[in-house]
Amino acid sequence: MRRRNSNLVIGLSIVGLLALMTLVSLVYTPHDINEMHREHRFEGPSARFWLGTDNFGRDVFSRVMHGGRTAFFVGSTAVAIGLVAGTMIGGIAGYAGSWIDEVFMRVMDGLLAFPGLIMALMVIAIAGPGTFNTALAIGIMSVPTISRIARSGVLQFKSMDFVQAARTIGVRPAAILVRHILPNVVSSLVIAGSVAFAAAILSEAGLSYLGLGVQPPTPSWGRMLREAQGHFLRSPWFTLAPGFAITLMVLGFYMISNGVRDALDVRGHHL
Amino acid sequence: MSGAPSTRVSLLEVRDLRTWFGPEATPVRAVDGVSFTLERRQTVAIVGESGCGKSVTGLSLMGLVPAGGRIAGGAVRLDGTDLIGLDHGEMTRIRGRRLSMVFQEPMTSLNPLMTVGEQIEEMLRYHLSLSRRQAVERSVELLDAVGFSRPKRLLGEYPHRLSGGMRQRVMIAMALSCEPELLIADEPTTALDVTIQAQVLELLRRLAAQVDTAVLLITHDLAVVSEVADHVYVMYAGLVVESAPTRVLFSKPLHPYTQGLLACVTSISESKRRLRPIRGTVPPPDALPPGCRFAPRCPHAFARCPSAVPGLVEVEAGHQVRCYLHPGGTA
Amino acid sequence: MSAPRLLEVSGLTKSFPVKTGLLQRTKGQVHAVTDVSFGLERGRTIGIVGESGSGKSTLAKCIVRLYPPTAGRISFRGEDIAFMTERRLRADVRARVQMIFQDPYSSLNPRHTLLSIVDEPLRVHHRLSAVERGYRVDTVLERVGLDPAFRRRRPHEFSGGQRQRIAIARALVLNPDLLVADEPVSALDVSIQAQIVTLMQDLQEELGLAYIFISHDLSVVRAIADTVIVLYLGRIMEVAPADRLFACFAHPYTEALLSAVPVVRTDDTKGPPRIILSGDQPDATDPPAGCVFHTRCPYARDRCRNEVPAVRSLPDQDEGHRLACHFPLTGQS
Repeated sequence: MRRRNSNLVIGLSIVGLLALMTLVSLVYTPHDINEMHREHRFEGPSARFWLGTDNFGRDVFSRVMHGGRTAFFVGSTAVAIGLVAGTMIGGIAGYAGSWIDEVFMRVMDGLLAFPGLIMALMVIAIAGPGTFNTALAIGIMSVPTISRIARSGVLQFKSMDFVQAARTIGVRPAAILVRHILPNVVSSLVIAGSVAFAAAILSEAGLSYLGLGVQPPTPSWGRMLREAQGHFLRSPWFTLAPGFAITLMVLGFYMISNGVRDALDVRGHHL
Repeated sequence: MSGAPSTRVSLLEVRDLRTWFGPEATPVRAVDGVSFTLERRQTVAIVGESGCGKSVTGLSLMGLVPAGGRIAGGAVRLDGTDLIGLDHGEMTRIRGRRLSMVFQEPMTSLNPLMTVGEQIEEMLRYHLSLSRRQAVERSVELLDAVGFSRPKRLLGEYPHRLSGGMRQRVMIAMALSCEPELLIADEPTTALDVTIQAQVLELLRRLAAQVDTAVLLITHDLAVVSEVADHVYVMYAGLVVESAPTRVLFSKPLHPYTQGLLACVTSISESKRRLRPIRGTVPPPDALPPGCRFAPRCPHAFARCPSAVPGLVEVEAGHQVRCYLHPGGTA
Repeated sequence: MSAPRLLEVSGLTKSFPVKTGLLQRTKGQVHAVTDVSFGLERGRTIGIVGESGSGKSTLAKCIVRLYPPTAGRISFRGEDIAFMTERRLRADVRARVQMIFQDPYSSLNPRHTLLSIVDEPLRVHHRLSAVERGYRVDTVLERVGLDPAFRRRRPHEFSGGQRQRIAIARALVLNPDLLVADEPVSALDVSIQAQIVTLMQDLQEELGLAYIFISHDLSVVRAIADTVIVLYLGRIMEVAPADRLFACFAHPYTEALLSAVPVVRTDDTKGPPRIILSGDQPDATDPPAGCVFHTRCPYARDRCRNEVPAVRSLPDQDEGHRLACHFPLTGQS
């Protein structure tokens, strides 16, 4: 019996549309993102400016499109950093056990106990603001959570008979981890990764809103919000557009993560 | 109910029970026309391998057909009342009160957050409307009856503190709490060690005599069947293929499947030897072979076997077999 | 000087620390296996029986060195492997000692194909071309009764019996000397059990394999084993050639265990009276003093409560029959 996985379908559609919009921005935007139409400041949506204009008379839609690049870049870089580091740390800690596990996991607990934003501020204070450093800071923030998920997955499969069987065959520990255990943990890492992606988008918006993330003139949804905050009553469109983009993106990734979980649950029945 | 003992209504009479799964057009026939009867104080066994439909038969009697399944036909008469037509509320009152069931894994059938006492008392108060004090007294009696040496202390224990054998005995005590007319036991000893299995079998045997309860034993273990049952039904791929009084079945098995199963059974009284396994595997219920369902694995199969499912014929009093080798001239 | 026995286990002991609390302090020890000794020749089968918690699985996992033992010797082909490093095990031992597990649903990686499961040992231990490996995989698949055409299928597409055949194929592909089978047929249907037991018997005859066959089912062990060890709470209660053990057992625990086994009867005769043991096995973290079986033994006396019986052979019997009991039963039928 195939159940339609609406979470996954809708989530993928939302993220797919946003990704398409971002890709299109590489070759075409309705207006130059930095061109100031001084006579059209604070305008609402119109045929010429689909989502209106900002305080400098720049086209909001073009800037939202372009901001997608920042969002996807920061999101995927941060998730990549988080997944690679988190899987390695969690995988090794879980498989090796004993004192290695203790040391790794206590360090991760320490990181987890540290407020994420302060952590990110520290990274930025050391490395300086900028798009990549923002991604780096956010990626490091996601390592503790992902490493915990990787570790618990590894622990779950480590005691299974097929892993014991691999040991009696003489497979080396590293190969057991890579060939036998991690492929079974991938599904929970995909879920963790899509949640982390959503969180990364929010963190980027937050950091950029504080002026610590992506620097001008690169458009970022978070910074657009910051620029718009003083003009909300005068021109709500200017605020709503990037806010809506953030919401959609985050929602899309959460739906994907739920969808993946459902898809795996269904298959889990006849495993 | 007439109340007259002379009318000879069987305690349980199952006629042509069909429990099907999946879509209406192409149903998976897990139980495909099973009939049997059970008299008071009798122990009857349904024996077969996994996938033969024995567990689904038991659940169907309880009105607990697993999700996706439905009773597609037949009748289940408990003391003359057809259970299939009953609504949810009526069935709930019968379940536990007149008909109860014990499962293979007692841990999952007990609520881990309630003490043993609370669970038995709940059952007694729901079905028999006993007061709290009466329920406690009765619980102690029941736990004593299933062989616990200190039943009072056990009332306050949580299920995870008990061993598998103790949990299974608690389950049996609960199942018996309302003195049901019929106890359905689905693989009650399969998860237990032999020494504990011996305790539980002893208990089941005593029941029939003392508590006036009939037992329907569902199992794959022929040796267990031979020790406790009065009458045996052998199931294969959703059908009863042979039925006989226990001694007759084990001394004179007629169906090639029954013969094959008996040849597979290892025994502690036979030294190192070759077994004679049945070739192949049980067909899945969604891909049954045509005609006799055992034909593809049968060493005696001949041209007629795949033509149609053979009927169940009585070869002598009480001994029925579903096989073309035994056309049953007498019947 | 004759060649060493294939396997000689002596004084094998394994205990697991019980850790509790925040600081993971060791609070006690689970004595899973205590002072177990036995030997096994090539081409023979030793059966190990016991109830759950008797330590039979732990014993198996020590012998294949999934666990390091706490103490004792495991001499395999004349070499002590009890405390061998993982690196040397991989080089010298792993290919020769293989294991089959109880649950064929968890002993095969659900993401691998039949081919990659059976092929993996070859990739680990031999430098062979893909063609040569494929040939050897096909040969072993046919030998265990699986169609090589299914080599691209994954474990969930096979039945329980077929999965156990896959596990046997994986164990056989390296031509091991010793196969440790931990409850290999317990999860299978009766007719499939007989198929697997028969397959194992055929393979032993052809390849001269030695088996350690562990089961809680005494009748299956009877059908396959030459020698039987009865374990209780991690200790050997009785060891004897199979025919002797089932006919002339002398340990009260063996007596109770055998009397508990249900038997198919074709007539109305009754077997010997059933001995129903009272209570459950004691806790392995705090085993009883003296003979570990005395708490449930119907014949226990004072000496049993105080003095641990040594495993010894009976005075007037051959050396193959040993037991740990102060007051052996006599005059068995």
